[in-house]
Amino acid sequence: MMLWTFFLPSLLAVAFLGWLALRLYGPNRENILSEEAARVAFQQDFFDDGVDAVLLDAPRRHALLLLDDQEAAGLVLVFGDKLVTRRLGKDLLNTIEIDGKRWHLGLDDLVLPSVTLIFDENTTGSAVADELRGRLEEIAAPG
Amino acid sequence: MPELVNPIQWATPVFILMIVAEMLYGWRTGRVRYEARDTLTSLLMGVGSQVAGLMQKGVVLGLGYWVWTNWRVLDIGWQWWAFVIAFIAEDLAYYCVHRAGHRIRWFWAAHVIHHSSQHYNLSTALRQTWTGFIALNFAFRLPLFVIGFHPLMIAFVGALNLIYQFWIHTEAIVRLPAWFEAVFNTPSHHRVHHAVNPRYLDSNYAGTLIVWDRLFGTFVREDPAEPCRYGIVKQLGTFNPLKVAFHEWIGILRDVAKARSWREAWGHVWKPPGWRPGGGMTSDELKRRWQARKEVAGGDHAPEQASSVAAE
Ligand SMILES: [Zn+2]
Ligand SMILES: [Zn+2]
Repeated sequence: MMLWTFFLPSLLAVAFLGWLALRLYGPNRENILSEEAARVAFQQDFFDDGVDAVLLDAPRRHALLLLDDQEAAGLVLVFGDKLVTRRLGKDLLNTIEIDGKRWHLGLDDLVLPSVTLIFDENTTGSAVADELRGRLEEIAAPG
Repeated sequence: MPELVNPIQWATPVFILMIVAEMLYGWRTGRVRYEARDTLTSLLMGVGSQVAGLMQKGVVLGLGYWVWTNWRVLDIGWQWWAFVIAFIAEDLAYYCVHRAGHRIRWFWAAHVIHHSSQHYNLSTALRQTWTGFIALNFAFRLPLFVIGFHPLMIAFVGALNLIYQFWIHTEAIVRLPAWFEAVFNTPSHHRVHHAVNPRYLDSNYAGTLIVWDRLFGTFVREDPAEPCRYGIVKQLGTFNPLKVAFHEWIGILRDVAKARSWREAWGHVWKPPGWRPGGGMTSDELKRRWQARKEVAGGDHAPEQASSVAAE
């Protein structure tokens, strides 16, 4: 009874509105990040941190930020048509696995448990990437 | 006792039509934005909230009857003016539960759902909690039954209050006449409530009447020079409705399990969201730091203001 009178019409309405939003506003999969957008987004949320450098991944969907605080790094990622930021300190960054150009971060965060960044060769060989890698490994190291 | 309809049932088709109208308006003018997955999540949270409401309705009404039958002080009838007073009283109770919903993590765990979208449109209004019953939100209405308002009357005016709050979730309306903005909750006031800009945090808890915020010192006016950025301080990186519904409850459980003392465990449940032993980043702390930085910078606004839209 409840299924027919309430649940089914509601789900049909949800499906219709979702479809309409997709038709009118698009899938938003084409959004990309710039260094400036990543820097501004991060500093809006973490206004006490200074940002020394920004490293974009190849699809430009994620950015890692080198901060003036040695014990943390910044993370910005595209989420739909918005951005999500995190300050990766010891309390948040659990693991980092680096497999060539692929960096996989494991976070202690139920609503953002992991992030995979894929860099191109030029980026992974850069001094900023080296420094970020060292810093992230240090943050994720136990103890 | 009059036969009362469920106003939300009647309002739902109007909600759907208004969302369609706002989507079309935003598509034509660019003044409102929707994102398909965000919209889907909000609407599924709305359906889930209605299902949760149906499941708990009997218990909440039963408890209300019990209190009303055994403890009521006055015999308030069903006159028209009783509905008016009940609406105002219920709106005050809503202000209280809503304020608790932002200042105490236990209640925030249920309320965070409503704030978890970075969008602010009519679909956000339907992004409602599934766990208000677990949080015991209904306790804030018990004094109304003690006064003598019939539980069905309170359920009815409570539904009207929720319906009122639907249309204010929009960026399409900038400002309304001054007399209206002075008395009622409006899109402008409620945008501020949904904003994460430090200067806007923890303000405008009103349901229908903004006078409660003016009275209790929690009113903040929208500043056209500082556009609202919506969502929560730690934005979600998921559209999964189950994670949206339960993430803060799981966070509480994990923190309590790791607590080194009863006092610490209590803090994780009862202190403001963001609290950690030794400090943490509560909204008060965030505002304090932002204020200090503003004073150093010598300006009134945050040093950088930019669109939250990702695309270049
Ligand atoms: Zn709220
Ligand atoms: Zn709202």
